[in-house]
Amino acid sequence: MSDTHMEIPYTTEVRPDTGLTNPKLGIWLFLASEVMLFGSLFSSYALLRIGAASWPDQSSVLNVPLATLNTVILISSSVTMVLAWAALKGQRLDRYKLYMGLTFLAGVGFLIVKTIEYREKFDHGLFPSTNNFLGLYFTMTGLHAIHVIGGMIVNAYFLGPGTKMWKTDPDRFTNRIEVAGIYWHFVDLVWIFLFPVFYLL
Amino acid sequence: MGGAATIYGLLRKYIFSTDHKVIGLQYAVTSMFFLLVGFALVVLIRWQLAYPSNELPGWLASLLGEERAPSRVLAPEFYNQLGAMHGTIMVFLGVVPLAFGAFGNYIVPLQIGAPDMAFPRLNMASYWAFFAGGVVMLASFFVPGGAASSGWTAYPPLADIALGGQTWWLVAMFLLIISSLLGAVNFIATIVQLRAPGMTWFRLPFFVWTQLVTAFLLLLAFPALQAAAVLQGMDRIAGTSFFLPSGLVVSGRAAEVAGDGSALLWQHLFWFLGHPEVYVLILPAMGIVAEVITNNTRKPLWGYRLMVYSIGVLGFLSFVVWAHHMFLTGMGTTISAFFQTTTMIISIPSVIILSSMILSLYGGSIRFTTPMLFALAFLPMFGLGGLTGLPLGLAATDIPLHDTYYVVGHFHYLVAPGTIFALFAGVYYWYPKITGRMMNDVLGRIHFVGSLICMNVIFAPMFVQGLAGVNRRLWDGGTLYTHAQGTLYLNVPMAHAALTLALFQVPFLFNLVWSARRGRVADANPWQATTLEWAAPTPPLAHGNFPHPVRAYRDPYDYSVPGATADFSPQSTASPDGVA
Amino acid sequence: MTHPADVAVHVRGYLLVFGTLLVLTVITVAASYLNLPTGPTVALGLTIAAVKAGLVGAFFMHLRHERALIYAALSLTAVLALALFSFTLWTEADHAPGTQFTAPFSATPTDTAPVEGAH
Repeated sequence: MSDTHMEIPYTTEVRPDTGLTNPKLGIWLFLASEVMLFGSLFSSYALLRIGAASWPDQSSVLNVPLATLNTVILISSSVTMVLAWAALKGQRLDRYKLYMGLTFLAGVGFLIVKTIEYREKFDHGLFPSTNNFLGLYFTMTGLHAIHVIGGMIVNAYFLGPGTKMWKTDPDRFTNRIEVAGIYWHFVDLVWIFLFPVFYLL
Repeated sequence: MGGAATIYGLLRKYIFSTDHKVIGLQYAVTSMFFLLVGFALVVLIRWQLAYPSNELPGWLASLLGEERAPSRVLAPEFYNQLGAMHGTIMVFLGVVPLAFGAFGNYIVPLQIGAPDMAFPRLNMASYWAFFAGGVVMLASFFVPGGAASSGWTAYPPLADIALGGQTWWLVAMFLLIISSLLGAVNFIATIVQLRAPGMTWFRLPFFVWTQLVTAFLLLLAFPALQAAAVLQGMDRIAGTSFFLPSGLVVSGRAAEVAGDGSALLWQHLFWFLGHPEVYVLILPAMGIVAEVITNNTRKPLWGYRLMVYSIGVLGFLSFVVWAHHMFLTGMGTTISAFFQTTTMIISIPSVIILSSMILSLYGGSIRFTTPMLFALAFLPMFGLGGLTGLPLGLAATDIPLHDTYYVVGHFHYLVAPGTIFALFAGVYYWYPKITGRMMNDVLGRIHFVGSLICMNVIFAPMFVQGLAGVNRRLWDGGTLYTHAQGTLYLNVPMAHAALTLALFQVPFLFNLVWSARRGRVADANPWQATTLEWAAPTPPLAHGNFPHPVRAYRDPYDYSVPGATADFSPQSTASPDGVA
Repeated sequence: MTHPADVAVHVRGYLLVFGTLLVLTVITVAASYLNLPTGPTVALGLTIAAVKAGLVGAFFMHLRHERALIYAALSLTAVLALALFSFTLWTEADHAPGTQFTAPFSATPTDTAPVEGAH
């Protein structure tokens, strides 16, 4: 028998005793591992900073206004993301596309600001190898940016070819956007901690 | 429909399948290959330790080449590669993919009555990430400088500055960890969500419980090593000094790095994964042994509930013992006492589980089938391995034993005649469900006796050497040290036993292949077992497993139910007489 | 099917949270200019971040109305992340920089012949 499409239960319907769908459980489990990943890195930051012979004055090395802008961008993108899902709940595909498009654009904006920031550092001869503060800054914001890109790829798919599912299985599509949203909010969440830790403390 | 006859069809069916059974078999074949590779590496190690600085056989020396074996003698640098890669390959490419990826993938959906995993395509992605990681890991042998050679533990500063394939090791680990994380998400979601009607938590086979806890260990512990790998990668590639202290001098020259890093940070992140990892190695094995024992004693498992609670406690505690690998790093006495305490406490659930399995034998009608032989041997071997861990868990006794062969003997007893024996048991046990034929018993018994004896000859002397103070990871085995002289002769029988152990795997490998065509034909339930996988056809249906929706009506191990006609009452049938 | 009115309620809620998040962002940046000593700075910064994170989690990620299993998995994660963080720091508390050489070793290699019985 070739690859027949058998139905996996509870992909869209909720399993009664757990109250969950498979994707909902799956994304939260994945985020649990991401919490451990970024948690390990924040732990590394704490250990290295506490043990350092000297540590730069972070807010004078980094660009606080640009990072504040990026914080506002990401928070806004979180709102547009959840509004995209709400639009689907209200059966408004046009609104969904608007908000999802805005979310994607916000991601682009975030990456542009990040690029400007990084370039600024490199132009001043500040590299990951300069000291551990910068090493951690580039590594952790870089890893975060990779997660942003990942989220943007998923969102682009759901803005593009993935939208076809709205016609065939609207509930499943709406749930997919909710799950993608949970991931995107997590990316925002990590930044909510990265921002004060690296720029303000 | 695209039948299997087309190339595309063949690819979809056998290579890029989303069916958990195909994926499980892919994991099995790949991981067994890596087990053989890891084994080959250690046979070389054992030979070098038995006959240090002796010339290798001509054919072997030319195979290795002038750099790895200058003047036909094994180079110390290459010895270090063998050591690091043996450990890495066995743990990450061999045992875990076999225990979790292969057995877990194939058996868990069947035992819970599910049609497949919760996320079949993610499952396929997990396998290919594992495969990619394996390719990168093997390729690292052929880069300038050779493979990683800083131990499977990759401690900085050495791993940070080592020339050679350490960066490839990091890339491979990155891929392997992604594979495990995706797999873990899949297993947990599957076990939580796809249990068949009637399959309540305390009707789950113990094997499924062990896989569930294992998945949580992988999910929450591996990210720490992922983070560490990223940081070490940055150190090696971007010149950062996360793990490099100030004032480091390498080969007479000051290291040109910013410094102020912490080599111990790596150890914390590594062992935060490393300790749960060893429970990842043992838990599926415990699950398999429990299945085989209850089936071959025709009695329910003694203390099933107790075992379930124990496995949960064990899983949780495994996260808070890690620094017992770091007792010699200069930590304060209070935190040392904390880790010693948690380490001592964690032996309790282990002992409960082992005792329950032993107690399960009492009053049983024991059938000494081939899987049962391996399962029975597991018990004292695991016991010995566990007991030898006790002095390591107390800092005072760990001081003379740390980094000696005592440690190597300790963990090999747990992994080799422990886990690997359990995995052998699993292969002999589930083979008829996969292929419809039994494996040959005579070959199986030869495999068993030979492996058991050889493994003990290899690993028992390690305790003697370790207690004498022989350090691990010495390319000449310690010939330069007077305190080692009295025990080095043991390396000779150990090396011969290693080669003999290799020989005794031949009947097993032959049996695996031969029995698929020529083994005794088996019906759907040749072991007369109760768990749901035996209610599926042989082999279970592609993409669906069960022809009709299956239900769990009973506890998992209803053997010898009073009043029943047979000595087993399958979980899938309401009546104890096994009638639907 | 969800009523547009139900969605509107949610939307208002989301916009309210958005506003709160922006305000908290302004506060956290402003507070950084107070130049408090390290301890209070860290405490304040992380507390505000935690509140923002809580809002995002509770409202945007729908954690307010999630299932027990999700809460259980996340609680376990939080405990373990805390364990990693705190025990690592505690273990290194006596010598946080880890290996620290006070002066570089001599650049000329010393005699490296092994001493009998030593490592």
